[in-house]
Amino acid sequence: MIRNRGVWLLAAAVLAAGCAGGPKADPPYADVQVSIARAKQRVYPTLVFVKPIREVFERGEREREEVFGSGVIISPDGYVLTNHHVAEKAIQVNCVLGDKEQVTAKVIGLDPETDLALLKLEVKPSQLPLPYAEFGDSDKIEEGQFVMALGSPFGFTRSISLGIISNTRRYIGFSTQYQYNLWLQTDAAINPGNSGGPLVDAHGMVVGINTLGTFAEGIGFAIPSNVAQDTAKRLKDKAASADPNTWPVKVERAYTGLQIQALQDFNTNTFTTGAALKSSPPAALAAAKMSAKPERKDSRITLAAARTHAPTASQPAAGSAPAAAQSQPAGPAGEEVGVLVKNAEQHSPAEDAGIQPGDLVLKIGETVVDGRYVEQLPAIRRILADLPIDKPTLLTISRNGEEIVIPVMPVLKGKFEGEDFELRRWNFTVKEITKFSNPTLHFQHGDGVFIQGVRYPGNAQDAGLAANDILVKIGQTPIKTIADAKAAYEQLVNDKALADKKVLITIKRGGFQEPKLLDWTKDYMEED
Amino acid sequence: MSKLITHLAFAAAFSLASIALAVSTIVLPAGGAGAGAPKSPASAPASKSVKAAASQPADDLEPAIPEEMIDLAQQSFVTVHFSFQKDTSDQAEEDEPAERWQPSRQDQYQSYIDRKMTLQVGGVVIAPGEILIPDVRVEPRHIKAVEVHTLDGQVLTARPGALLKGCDAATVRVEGKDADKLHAVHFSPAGELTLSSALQAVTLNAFEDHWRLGHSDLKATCALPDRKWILFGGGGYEMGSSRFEMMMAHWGGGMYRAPLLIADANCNAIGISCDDSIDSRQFYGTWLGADVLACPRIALTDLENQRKSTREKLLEAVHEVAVQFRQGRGAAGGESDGRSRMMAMMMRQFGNSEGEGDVAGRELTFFGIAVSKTQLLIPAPLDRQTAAQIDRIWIKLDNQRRLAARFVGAFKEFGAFLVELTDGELPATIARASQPPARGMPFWTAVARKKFAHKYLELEYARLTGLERGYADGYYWRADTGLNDGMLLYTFDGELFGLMLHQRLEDEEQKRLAGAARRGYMNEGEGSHVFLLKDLEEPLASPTAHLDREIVVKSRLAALRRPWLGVEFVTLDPKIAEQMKVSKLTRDGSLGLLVNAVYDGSPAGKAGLKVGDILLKLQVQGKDEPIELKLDSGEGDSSRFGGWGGWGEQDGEAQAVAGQEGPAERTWKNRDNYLTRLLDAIGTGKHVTVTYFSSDDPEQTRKQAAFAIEQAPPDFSSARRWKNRKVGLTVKDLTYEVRTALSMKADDPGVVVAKVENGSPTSVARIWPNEIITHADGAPLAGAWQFQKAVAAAKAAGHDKVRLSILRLGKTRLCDLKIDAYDKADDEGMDEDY
Repeated sequence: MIRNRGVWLLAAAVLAAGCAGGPKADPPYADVQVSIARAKQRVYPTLVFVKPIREVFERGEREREEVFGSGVIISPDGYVLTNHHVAEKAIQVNCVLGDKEQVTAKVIGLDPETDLALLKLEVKPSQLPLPYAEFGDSDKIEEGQFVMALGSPFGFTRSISLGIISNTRRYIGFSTQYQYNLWLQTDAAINPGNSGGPLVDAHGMVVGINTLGTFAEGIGFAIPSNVAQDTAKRLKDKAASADPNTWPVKVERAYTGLQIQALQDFNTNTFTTGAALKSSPPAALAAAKMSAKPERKDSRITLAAARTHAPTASQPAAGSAPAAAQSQPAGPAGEEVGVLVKNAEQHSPAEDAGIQPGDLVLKIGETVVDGRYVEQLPAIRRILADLPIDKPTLLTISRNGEEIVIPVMPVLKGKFEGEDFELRRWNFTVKEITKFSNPTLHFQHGDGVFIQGVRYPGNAQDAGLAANDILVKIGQTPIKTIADAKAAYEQLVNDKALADKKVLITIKRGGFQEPKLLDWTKDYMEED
Repeated sequence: MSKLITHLAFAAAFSLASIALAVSTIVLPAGGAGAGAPKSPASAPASKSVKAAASQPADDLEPAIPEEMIDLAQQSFVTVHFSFQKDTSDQAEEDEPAERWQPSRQDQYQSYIDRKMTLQVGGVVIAPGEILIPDVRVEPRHIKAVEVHTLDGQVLTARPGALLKGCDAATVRVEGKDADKLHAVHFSPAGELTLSSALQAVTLNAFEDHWRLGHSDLKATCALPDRKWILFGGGGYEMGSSRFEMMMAHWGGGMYRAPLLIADANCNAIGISCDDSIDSRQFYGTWLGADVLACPRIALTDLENQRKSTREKLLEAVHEVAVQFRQGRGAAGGESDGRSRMMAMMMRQFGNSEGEGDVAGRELTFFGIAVSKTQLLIPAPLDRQTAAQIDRIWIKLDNQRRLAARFVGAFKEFGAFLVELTDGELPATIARASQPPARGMPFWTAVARKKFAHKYLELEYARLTGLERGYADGYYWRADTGLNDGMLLYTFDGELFGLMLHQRLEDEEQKRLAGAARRGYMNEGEGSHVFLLKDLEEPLASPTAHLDREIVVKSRLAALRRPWLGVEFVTLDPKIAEQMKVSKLTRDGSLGLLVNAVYDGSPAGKAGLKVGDILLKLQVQGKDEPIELKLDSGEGDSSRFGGWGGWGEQDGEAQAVAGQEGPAERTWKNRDNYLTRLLDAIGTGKHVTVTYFSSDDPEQTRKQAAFAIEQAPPDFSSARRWKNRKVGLTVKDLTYEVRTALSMKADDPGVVVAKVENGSPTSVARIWPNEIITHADGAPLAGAWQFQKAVAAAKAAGHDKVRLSILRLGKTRLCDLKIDAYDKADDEGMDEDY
């Protein structure tokens, strides 16, 4: 980190010297500086300061708040890529462009599972075409390569930080929601407000979207550009065919309920032997195989190699696994392949199909699966997510040394995150339980509604209600959906004839029901 | 301080309300400064003024104090001043006060020393050179000097005298010529005391810097039907509070009142008393002058010698008993459920200061008396839960030898238990008194403890002062000093005549539970009283009939077993009851447990109880009163348990990013709750009827379900377990409440991970506490022991790992557990069974 900062400060000094026309610059640094300056030139105008006003429910009431994030213009007509966690729940998005023009943007699509959002700037025709950034091929990025993070950390707009790629294939899907992609790890400073901004290589190509910082210094994560491009394309295509009133659209994925584990799982020191395919032609061996990026022998080639990579605007989205599968040569016949099934979720297509923990999936359809390492899992999940919905796909499975073929009928994956609702007079907010974002509550209760936030001070707080309590009944009305909660709430608060503004709310907490008395005689909203 | 004020206030109130008690001022130099006061030309005018005051009563109805009485008082009363020193001898000790709030005796002496004050007490010169004072219980080793101040200002050197055996008094002596300066009161024979005997009493009352004369006419009454037993009252001493003890210097200046000097109608002194119990037969204590003079005395120096020799003798039959309790309640440790915490609290009273918290794993020290060659009686209560955890008992004969002993049992009627040597004999048994000492006779109270690393008896003398009605309308001893639980009572001859023991009540545990549940504190029940040896002889002679059969030593797992009704519950409150429209039956929410879970196969499940039912009371067959199910709202309320509020999903923070999920939440309830404790207290096998109603029933019909209290199946804390430190995990059988909380069926395979050792193979495999291991190498796991077998078999087969299926939140994953470090010798829990 200190070294990195040293480089950055030194570079700034050199730049000043350069402006003064002095000849003192040390040649190697000058070389780096030229690259940086050039790269910056290319992307800087496309950087957007994204200031959504969003509606949040976490604190027990519907509130608006302005958040700061970053984005990058990716097309001349004004599509902007940013993070899902920047644009989610936005009711209005203000953007400040490179020319200090403030324009609004519309949220076209959101994908929580890759943490990406696609916005469209609402600019006057006269402002078109807009400067836009181009994507580099994130599969070709190498550790040690210089990168710049552009964005608005803590709202300090149009900031650039410099660093290197620390790791090109970081897997963080053990227990996060990010199951479909690997991450670029960089030591370029990434702070809150950088979210959604571009990570740019020395050629000014966008190689990633800065997304996650950590408490540790010098550890930040960016979504690889190939993934970003793929998601952007899916959202754009989906939006094109959808009624704009239904925007933002989501990425459609197939759901099988199949959960996989790497054969060589260093996280748990669990090592499984794969199986050799008995029946498949060697040519079929492909698929996620390509994602098992072979160690490059010429790893010393860094900037030079990157320079030879000619950026073009028409660079195809290379992140899609099936596309990649076709472009990759197959491995040798008889090689052990497969990925370990750790779980077939309850009531899922995989469970219905009889897939069991411990099975090895060798092929999905005709695509051979290689899940030796955790870094290969996202690609396999993408294959599963892209399976045709409601049509059987044949999985080739090795079970106890025997190869069997099992048809699985994927269904459309349900919504990732549930709806919110504010029970304003009662001073709490509720949310739908979904198995993807609330696995614990879903395990305890199944579908339903839970308390998202309790306002302090407020009636719910007085009643002893707490976040993550599951709503079982309001009065005598069972609550199964957010609509039930809404109806029960509205009926009670609008009932002018009600003698007592009191209701018994039955909650489930830690798996056990208990009644809580909510008294809404006091109107806390009137108080402040 | 309060004590003294109370005395004075009572005396004043008494005199105004009923008995004519004239208060006059006797001119006397200030008590403390008396030594330096001039000898008295003031004395003569003083007595005149007294007479003047007496001859002009404020109220015509109030008789004057006869002048003869004033003369008598002025001549006979003196004040005795004790100054103290610190005891720095080898035998000096920090004694412990009986109650925490009390100062120790050292503190009391020290407060006089620090303030350069003397302890002052009024006395009466009863014989040449002998002054009778109330027994303030000062110890000679602490006395630096004693002075006697006459009311006319003479200061005489004195020394401690003796203890009177027949009444609560002591003496100091003035020797040689100084003795002649004192005027001994002349006691006249009292003649026959009848109802018409008109007696009067005078005494000294300390008031600011002078003394005042207290005078009252005593009223005579008689006992019935024995009319000849004449009793006198109204001396101005508060009945029953004649206890004189040291007190802190700053409490009222350390000033005591004098004895009562009793005179007949003709103002002839006939007796002297230090309390208000004055009767014609001297049943309550010697007071008639001639008898007081003839009363046996023990010189204070002899008393000290006697104390030492008695202690030596008594200690031969008193032994240190070390009770070792079993380690830990559950495999995961720290699972204390609070049941035995109360016991630890009680035990602290018996000198086990380490008894803070759970007794588990501790060795507590008791002291027992040898009641036979092989049996020791330990005068301390021992409840079921604590006894159940006893691991080993040792009798420490001296610091070298310990003899193994076993727990025989605890008594039903009183808080004491018996242990018996498994081998060998005790050197001596306790000497038993044929009779308890008479009233007024001093006896020894003994508290056993350790001193200078040896067993020791703290002997103090006390006297019987009266009887109190108590448990089952019995009349129990009251002494002039506080008697504490576990005290041994010996005659001055060194024979045991009684013990101060906890009176156990019927269904004591249930009642204590109910008290704790409702009021948040432990109901101490009846408390303690003196059990005379005659009441103990029968239980000691044939203990089996008198031992509580419920109080037994149990195996670790058996001790953890509890009965069940098979429900979880929450409490109500007035508002919730009102909204649920159950206010009437639940008495505004103060009564009743709202069921929020019913376990399959439990008595409740079989009886058809459902979630939403409200349990009102339990009727134990054969008992007069039902047990109301009421407890302070709180227990069963999840908000009491920290952490639920934050129950929820983990965000994708650093831990999760790095692949560390962390321990799973333990969602099952601790089965140790009010209801299971209550059923446990009632006892398995008892027939019980529970009255309940359904909160959904508009009619709110009260229903009843009868069942016999049965043991619940093992639960998490009593489940079979397998622990292996090197592998680094503790697993337990999946018990019913865990299955219910995790929505697992009765026959679903699995064991629950109770504990994971940091840095162990289990930890490396990212197996977390509270996760379920369902399979090992593909084979379903029926229980903890089977898991051990699977691991042992894999190890024997030369494998270095087992492939486990782990279940968490309904999802499985697979992981390899390295077993190369496994060694069967490290297994724990495999030898335990019910």
